[in-house]
Formats: sequence, structure tokens, C-alpha cells
Amino acid sequence: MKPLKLIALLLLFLSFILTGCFKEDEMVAPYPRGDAHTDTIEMSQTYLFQVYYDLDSVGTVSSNMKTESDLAFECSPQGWHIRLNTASFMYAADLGVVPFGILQDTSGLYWWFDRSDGNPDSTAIGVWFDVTADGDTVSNHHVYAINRGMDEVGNPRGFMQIIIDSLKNGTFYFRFAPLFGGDALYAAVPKEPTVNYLYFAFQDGGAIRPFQPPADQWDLLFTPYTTLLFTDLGEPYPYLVTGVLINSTGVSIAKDTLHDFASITYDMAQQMDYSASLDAIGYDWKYYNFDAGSYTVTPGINYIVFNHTGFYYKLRFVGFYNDVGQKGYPSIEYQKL
Amino acid sequence: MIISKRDVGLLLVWFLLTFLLTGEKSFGQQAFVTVVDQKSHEPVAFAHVCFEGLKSGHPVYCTTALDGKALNQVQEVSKLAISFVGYKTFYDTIHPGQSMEVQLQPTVLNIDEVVVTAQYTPERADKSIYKVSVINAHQIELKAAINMADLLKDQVSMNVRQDGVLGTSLTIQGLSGENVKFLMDGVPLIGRMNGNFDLNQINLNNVDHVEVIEGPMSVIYGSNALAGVVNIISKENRSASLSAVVNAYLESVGTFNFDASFALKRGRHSIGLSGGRNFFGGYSPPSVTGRSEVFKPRRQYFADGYYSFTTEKLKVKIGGDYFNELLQDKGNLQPPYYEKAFDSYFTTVRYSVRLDLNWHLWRSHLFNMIASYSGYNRLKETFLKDLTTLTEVRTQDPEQQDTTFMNTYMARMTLAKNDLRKKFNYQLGADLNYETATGKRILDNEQAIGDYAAFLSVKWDPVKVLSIQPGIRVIYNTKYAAPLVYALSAKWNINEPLSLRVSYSKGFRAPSIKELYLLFKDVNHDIAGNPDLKAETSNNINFSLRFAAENRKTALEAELSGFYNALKNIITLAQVPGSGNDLSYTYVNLDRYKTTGGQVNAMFSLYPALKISAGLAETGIQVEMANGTTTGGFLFSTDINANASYRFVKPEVTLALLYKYTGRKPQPYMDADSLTLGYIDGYNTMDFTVTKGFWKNRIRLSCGVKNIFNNQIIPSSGLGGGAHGGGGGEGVAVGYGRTYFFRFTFNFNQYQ
Repeated sequence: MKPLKLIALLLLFLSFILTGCFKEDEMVAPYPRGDAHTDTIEMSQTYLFQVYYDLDSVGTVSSNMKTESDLAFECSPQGWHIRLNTASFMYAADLGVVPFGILQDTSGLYWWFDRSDGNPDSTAIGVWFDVTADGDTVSNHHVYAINRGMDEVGNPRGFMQIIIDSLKNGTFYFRFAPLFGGDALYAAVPKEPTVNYLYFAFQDGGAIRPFQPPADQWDLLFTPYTTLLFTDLGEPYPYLVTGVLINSTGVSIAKDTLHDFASITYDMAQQMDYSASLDAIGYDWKYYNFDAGSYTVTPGINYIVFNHTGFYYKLRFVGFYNDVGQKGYPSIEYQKL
Repeated sequence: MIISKRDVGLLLVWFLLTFLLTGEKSFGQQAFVTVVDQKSHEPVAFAHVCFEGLKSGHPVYCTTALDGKALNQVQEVSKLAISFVGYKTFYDTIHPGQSMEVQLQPTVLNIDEVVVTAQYTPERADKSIYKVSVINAHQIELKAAINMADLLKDQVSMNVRQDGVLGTSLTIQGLSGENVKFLMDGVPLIGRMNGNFDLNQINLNNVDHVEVIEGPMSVIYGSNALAGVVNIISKENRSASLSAVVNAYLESVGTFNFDASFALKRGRHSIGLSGGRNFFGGYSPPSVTGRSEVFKPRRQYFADGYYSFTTEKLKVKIGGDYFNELLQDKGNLQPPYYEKAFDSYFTTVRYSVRLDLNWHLWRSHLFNMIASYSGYNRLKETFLKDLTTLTEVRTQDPEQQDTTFMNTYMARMTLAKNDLRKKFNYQLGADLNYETATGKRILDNEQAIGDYAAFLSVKWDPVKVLSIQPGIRVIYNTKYAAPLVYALSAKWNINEPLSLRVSYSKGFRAPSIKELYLLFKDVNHDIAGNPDLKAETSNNINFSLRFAAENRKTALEAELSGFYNALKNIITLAQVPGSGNDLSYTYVNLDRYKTTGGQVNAMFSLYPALKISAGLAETGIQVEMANGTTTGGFLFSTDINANASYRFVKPEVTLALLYKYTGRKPQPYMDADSLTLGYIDGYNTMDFTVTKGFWKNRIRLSCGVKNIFNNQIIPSSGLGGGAHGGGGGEGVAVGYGRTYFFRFTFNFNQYQ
């Protein structure tokens, strides 16, 4: 046989028998859903939206952009706390008694943020008043530096300075100005008794942002928020996470990792230990899989929600992506017990 | 005496016959040099033959065919040198039209391999002032290596590390792969991921041999040659009028490789084409369950071709190559429903065209020019797959899609004088590179860097046994301040079997485009490149002492070598001070890194059958961070290798056993202000191959076992460090476990 023909035949033979192919996937059976309700919360890929959710009404109550506010004023009758918008990674530092409205020196300041568990004793601004011998509360006239954090794509939002003048007749009075000097503006935020907190934004000369729903109309808040993480060496560092905070009025959470979701009953729910920490559900129901380059729901975590109307719901997370693979769309499955 | 017309006629006939019978050789019959084994008288195929004109001084190289013949086309009296692995080099002179039979005396020292990397002109490896290691086709066959990862993994001074997606990377002298320059026929390869090349993408199907120089070669080759240079020399048909090679390789883990090459030679013209397909089906150790494979499935297509034109003084070669790889990274099903998964596909495309010109200008002067264009694309696509319907949709999360383009234009010219009779020789060169990179995480989505250098190297032989070679390289870079690079090497032939090489050199690694221009900003990250970065620089000291002796039956070679590398301005990610933003990071020149170590290698051969070699390497690394944190001295690790082969001459069967012990390796992980130390445990590997030739070695079959000790996941501790780290407590995947392979090679050559 001529050499060229032999070579050609050999090539043909070898190329035929020596090709490998990628394995095809096999279909899997859908997971049986049962009587539980499933819903997807639309926070967006950049976690721009804060979403208030109510289990009783089976749906979203309201949503707002996380950058719409800076400060939150406590609206309970005896409340006086002022919180930061930790969804934007905001910090505050106490400058002490200094002239207000001038260029402030920020060297050596201790910056802090509000704790994610909602502990009222651990707010960044803290106690902004003194109590006189007569029992009156008067402003301590401290100036607070405010780092407004970042927007949803990581751009810094700038710095401000505030001084709380008083809380009188259910209204907070305060001034705010650019941290590095500028015109001071006056603001007044009257308490709104139906909500937990009333929000305020510095931009556009300052405005009240009444986007939080009434306290008796929601259970869960899907939002980014600032919390403390720890390195492998145990060193703490603040980090912006995306998760769930609970309504501080009447909602508490039990966490269960022992039982199958389908097997949890009302009787079991009544025996569990409940927490009123705002971050009792938190963010760690998912983790970032570096190998896969995506978020994965941590399997086997169940939450029992004792909601604001007194019902028990069992709840678990079933996803973090929408149907087109965008992150920022947590899916929950829940059922009233 | 009267001479009749008849007598004149008879005389004329006699002269004519004589003329035809003898002159036929000169004018009609081709002259060959026939090379045979002195002992067996069998023809020696693929021996290197060099004809060097005594007047012109320029060499012409070719190889013998399967019948041991090489065509003698010299036009003047020439020096003849013939070398081949396992034989003593033969020297003689040869005349135009002269046929000659040469009997090669067996030896086992492959010191006579001709190398080109960092040489003024092609040079024997033992004559080189640098310690050049050659991994030739015979060794590639014995190892049954199919890519560079296979080939280098059992080298005692090198370590390979696997990553499921980024592939296999290399460490030489304790320095990572971003410090190793990879060349293909002298053209730098492009397309590093995180600074490293995936060695699984460098196939050996069309490789003649690999030349490795350990230690900085920055004077000759510029950046990224701080730990050394690996130059992959492709095959080229020099003598056969038609040459065809077909290879097929199967491995039980699910590897199916096939390639073929053809070459034609007509007079001064030759062309070659090759191509093939490699496929690997993916693998996970039994302890790993789920849809995602630890070793990802991949499919590769590749092709290359060349045309060359050769005259006595000039050789011009034009070539091009293309490589396409698809790597599948299937994700595990997402809990709790286990219905959907994220699948990522990585497509890598590499292509290049090059011109290589070698011109013997006048006696002992060689002008070489290489010009090339190389392109590299890497595309990442991620899909969300619904396994209940087998449909998939491309995700719209920009973080999960990515495209990177890189283009490099390169021109390199050298003028070298290498007259062995003169005390002074030199090489003067220019190296011009222009690189662009495009990607969404690059500032302004595209950046370009120009790197233009001139270098000079002078070789001085004050006495016959001593060579001293200083060199200097001056660089202008458009984006960063390039250092002045210099080196000094020396070689002393102490006596016939003993030689000593020492060298000092300065090396550098240029900041990558990523380190200069990265832009990665989201709510949790604010990482920017630093355009003010300086190059990482190093000072290196190397020495090697070599002993080589042989007699008719046995040969012994031993080598002792050592090195010391001190690197500074290590580029590290650090927090931007005073940014007021805890998430703001950039690259800075911060840390120091040192490596030191030594090797002992020995080889023994008993002609014609037995070859044994062994090596031991000790490598130490030390980290010194800018904040004072250190590893507290050098952390050492030990590697040992041992190889043995036995050849049964009559049935043409060769058995080979290859062993390596990779010692416990420290893995320092540095971030802005902390140093974490992890370890990978030690392990043993062993491969066994059997090779047999048929039909005068036209067909060669190999089969054997790889990874006899069944290594899959090696325990590790403390890897992955940092706040987001995965802990690394499970281990590091190093292999597919024990596998069995079969290789078929068909080699056909036709001569006019």
C-alpha cells in the first residue's frame, strides 16, 4: 500500500475511535414543594433596595433605595436613640464640644457603627444628652462626625457633621453641615408613633424619609447592613453584609439546624428558644463559594418566626438568585404553623 | 608503435566508463553520510549532523533518517560533527560529494545536545556558560508526557501545583511561575492568569525538546525570567522529502489525545503542518461528591504550520499556531431543592504568527531576528442551568461574565560573534515589545505597555579553560521605571571531567497590567491598580560543579549546585492609608522574599541497556514583610527523584521507572499586614512505562501506569488565609489517582 494511503487510513481510523466528548447532564426530578409558600425578594444585583416583608399578607409591604436616608430617629414614646443607615456602611465619631460648622480635624478619631443586633446601648452616636439635677435632659453639645458610607456601587457619599440640640415635645432638633466646613442647616424630625424609626436624609437640604411601614404591618427587612466579622486570627473588622433584620416590635426568631424543614410542627416551635436580636436571621444563611464563584444557600438551616401578630411560621432560604442568574434576589420558603 | 583508430576508440571507451563509474558519484549520484552504531552496526536515526565550511565558517544542521543517512550537500571542504544521545560526538572533515560511513561510539552523556537558549550561536550544552538542562524527545517518550505539566512534575528542582480552573503552575528554586519565562522557539508565550501559565495548555505533540535554564536570565530575556527560562523547541523536518507522524494517547482517567503532523521538503523549501485534538473528561476523587469536578473537563484543538527557506547562509522561517481550549466548570446543585446549578465555561484562544531569520553574515557572525504577533483571549461565560428541564440561561450578573484580550507585538534582533578561536566574542541585541490588554476590570477598559531594551553580552576566554561573560541590559518602559539589569557568569574547565560554573545576576519582574491598572469596585471591594509601581528586583548567585567521565562500557555524571535569590519590592495588596475607607486597597512594593538551596544529581549508565539517575534538592524560602513580620529564618523542603531505564536491544523494548518524593512544602500567604503559614504534606509518586518499536521503529507503542501510589488529595493545613479564606483544611488535589495509559506513534519518512 502506498505510504500516503496508509497514512490517510490510519488518520481516519484513529480520529474516529479517539474522540472524547463532554458528558451530557441527566434530568433530575423537581423537588416536591408541599404546602409551603415560596417568594423571591427583589433587592437587585447591587442590593440597592431595602424590602419590608410581611408573612401574614404573604408579600412585600414596601421597598426603598438604601441610599435614601442617613439618620433614623426612634419614635417610641420614651425613645431618644439616633441610628445610622448601616446599609450604606455609615460611621460616626464623637468630636466632643467643638465649634460647629467649621472645618473639623478628624485625625485620631474613633469611628464606629451601630451594632447589627440592635442593642440600644451600642449605637455609634450613643447618648447625646446629659440629665440635669432636676431631671431635665439637655444636649451635651457634642459635635458628631458622620461618614455617610458608600452608594450601591461603592462610590463614597461624603462626610457631614451634626449636633443634636434637643428633643422636645416629641420632636428631635438638630443641625447639620459639611464636615470640612460649610453652611449649617437646621432640621426638625417629629416622632411618628406608628413606626419604629423615622428616617432623615441630608441631601437636598435635608428631608424626612417616611418609608418605614407601620410596625404592625411587617415582619422582616431584607437589607444590606454593617456587622462585625472576624479574621482567622480573631481580629474584628466591619463588613457590609446582605441579609435579614427583624421588626423590633413583636418579632422574635428561633434557629433550628436539627430537623428537616418539612417535619417542623407547631408543638416543636413552641419548645424552641427565641431571640429578639435584630440580626437573629442575619446573613449567614448563605456563603460565598470561591470555587464556584457564586453564593450558595447553607443547607439545613430553618428559622421559626414568631411574628408581630403572634403566629408561628417556619421559614428557610432556598436561593439567592433570580431566574436569570442575578444575585440579590433571595428566595424564601415559609409556612404558617 | 602505431596507435590505431581502434585503440583510440577503446581508450576513449575506457575513459568514458571510468568517468561514468566514478564521476557518477560527483555529478549524478547523491552523497550520503551514513551513521551506524559502532557495536551493533545498526543505523542511528535522528542523529544531529553538522557540516561547517572551513572557509565560510557557517554551520548547516540536519538529522539522519531512519536508515541513518544524511545528505551531504556541502560545496566546500567542511568540518563534520555528528552527535546523538547515547553516543560520543564524532568529528572529521568531509569533501563535496563524498560519501562516508561513520560509526558512533556509544556513551550516555547527553551533554552533546545542541541548545539555542541564551546562546550566541547554537552550542553544545556542555560548552555553554550557563547550566542548560535538556529534556529531549527520548525522555518525553519515556515519561509518556503529553504536556508541560507532565514533563516537569518529576524534575527535582521544580514543583507543579494544580488549580481546578487556573490549571497547573510551576515553581523553580522556590519562586513561583510568574517568575519563569516560557518561550516557544524563542517567542515569549502570553496569557498568564494571576501571573502563571496553565502548563496543561502547553502540549508536547510537536515538540522536539525543551531547554531549561534555572536562575535569572533577565539580561537576555527581560522581565519574568527571574527564576529561569523554559524554551520549547518545536520539531522541524530537515532531511526527509516527506515526513508524517501520527500520535494517539489514551489514559484510563478519560484522556483521549490525537495529533498528526506532515512535512515536505523540496530542495531549499520545506513546509510543515500539524494539528490535533486533546480531550480530558474531568475527574474527582471518590471522597468528593457532587456535580462539580475537582479536575475540570477540557477539550483542546491546536494547529500550527511553518514554511522555511534555507540557503548556505540564510534561513528564513515563517510560522503560525493556533490553540483553542474549552474548560467546563459545572457547579454543584444548589441546596435545598437541588434543581439548579451555575455552570461556567472558560474558552482560551491563543494564536501567533512569527518570522525567524538566521543569517550568517561573515565568518563566525550570526544575525538573528524574531518578529511575532501573539494574541490571547479568555472568555468566561456563566449559565444558570435548570436540571429539571435541562435548559440554561446566561446569567446577567456582570461578575460572572468576563472577557480578557491581550495582544503582543515583539521583535528581537541579535548580532553575535562566536569564533571559538578568538578570546573575545559578543552578542549585541535589541528587544522590542508592545503589549495591550483589554478587560472590564482594567482602567478605561484598555491599557498598553511598551518595553524597549538593548542588551550586550561579552564572552572573554583569557585562557583556554576559562570563560567569563558579563552582560548588561538597558530598558525603557512606557509605564514604570525599569531597573538596569546586569550579570556576570564564568565557567572554568578544571580538568577533563570536572567543570565549575558560577554566576551573579540581577533579575526583575515587571508589574503586570492587572497590578498597574486593575479597577475592581463594588460595595465590598475597592481595589485599584497602582501605576507608580516599581518592578520586583532580585539578586541571584548560582554555582554548579560538574563531573563527567566515561569508558567504553560505563559512564558516570555527577553535579552539585546551589543558589541564593534575594527579591525585594515584592508587589503586594495593601490598604490605602488615609483613604478613610476600610475597603480601599491597592498594590504596593512592600515585602522581601529570599530563596536558597542546593541540588545533587548523579547519573550512571551501563551500555547499552541500563541508565540510572537520582537527584536530591533542598529548597528554603524566607519572607520578610515591610511591617517586620517574618517567617523567622528559611523554611526548607526536600525533593528527591530517581529514574531507571533498561533497554532490551533485540526486541527493541525499553522499561522505565520514574520516582519522585515531594517533601512537605511551606506555603506563606501574605496580605496587607499579616503573614499566614500553611503546609502541604509530602508525598511519593511513581510512574512505569514500557515502550516497544515495530517495523524499524516506524511504529512505537507505549503503555504503563502513572501515579502508582494513587495520590489524589494530599493533606494540607493553614492554606487560603485571610478573612475570606476557605481554611484549606481538606487538602490539595495533586493527581487523578493511579491511571493506565496507552500510546501509539506512527512515524514515516520518505527520502528522494
